[in-house]
Amino acid sequence: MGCCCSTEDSSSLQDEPNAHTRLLQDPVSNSYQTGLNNSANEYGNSYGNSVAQKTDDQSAQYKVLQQIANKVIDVGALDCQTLEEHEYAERARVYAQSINKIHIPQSILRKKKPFLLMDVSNAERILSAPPISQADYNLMTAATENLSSAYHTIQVTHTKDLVVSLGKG
Amino acid sequence: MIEDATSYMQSVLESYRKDGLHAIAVTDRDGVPLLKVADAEIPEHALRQNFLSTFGMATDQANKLGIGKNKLMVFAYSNIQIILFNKHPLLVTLIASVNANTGLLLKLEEQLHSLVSCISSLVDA
Repeated sequence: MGCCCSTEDSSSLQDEPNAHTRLLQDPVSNSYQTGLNNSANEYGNSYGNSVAQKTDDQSAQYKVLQQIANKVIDVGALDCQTLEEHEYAERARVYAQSINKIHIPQSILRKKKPFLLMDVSNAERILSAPPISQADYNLMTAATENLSSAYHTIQVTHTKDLVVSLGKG
Repeated sequence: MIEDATSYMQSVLESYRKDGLHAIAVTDRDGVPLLKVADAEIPEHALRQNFLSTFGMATDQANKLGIGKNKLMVFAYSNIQIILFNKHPLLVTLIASVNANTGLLLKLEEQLHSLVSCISSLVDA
């Protein structure tokens, strides 16, 4: 608010944007808020009653920045989003406990009806393979017709009596 | 119970193993798993948190392209393929061999949708 002491000037010079400065702060880290809080502490007395209003402004400003960050593709900020090992383990444990507590209906966990061709792996490759030649097809058809006709012409001709009396020696 | 959910996922994995599926992981946006099943052929690093979270970040960024919400992503590499279903706030990651039928694996979304919806309330959006 128009207060221009030498320390502020020097810090503002350091913070001057250059080619490598990020336009948006990392929304995950709280460095932005910390900076604002520090300045609030430094000048807290001079601002007096406006502290509450300033906090509202800060939160509103932070919210706006977060909204913008949610819309902007900032590839550089992706690197810093890694979890600590203990945080990962703790969260995985909490998830496991939570899943144990909730009720999952059996209808969800029921096995789905298998596919018609479930025993055939890579069915699409088999189905998309070139068909057999016409000559082979004709050969198979003729062979099965011959087999079928041969089967139907099988007849039993008995040469001896079908009933034999065993009692007579 | 987590055992029931895991055994269901295992049964799904078993039925698609002959088609080249190696792992199914349901994670939050940071790659922390809620449920995961895998076979022995999975690459060692493929189920690590920082590996899985990479694809979560990719889908988060893809949401900002101005062409609507990103629903799924397919990453094809020379060794494996990765299929990612965006089930906000969860992610479902399928890891399969490079020769696996991608279209067939995409149909898995229907089978996993109910279970994922059921547990999605556990994670903050």
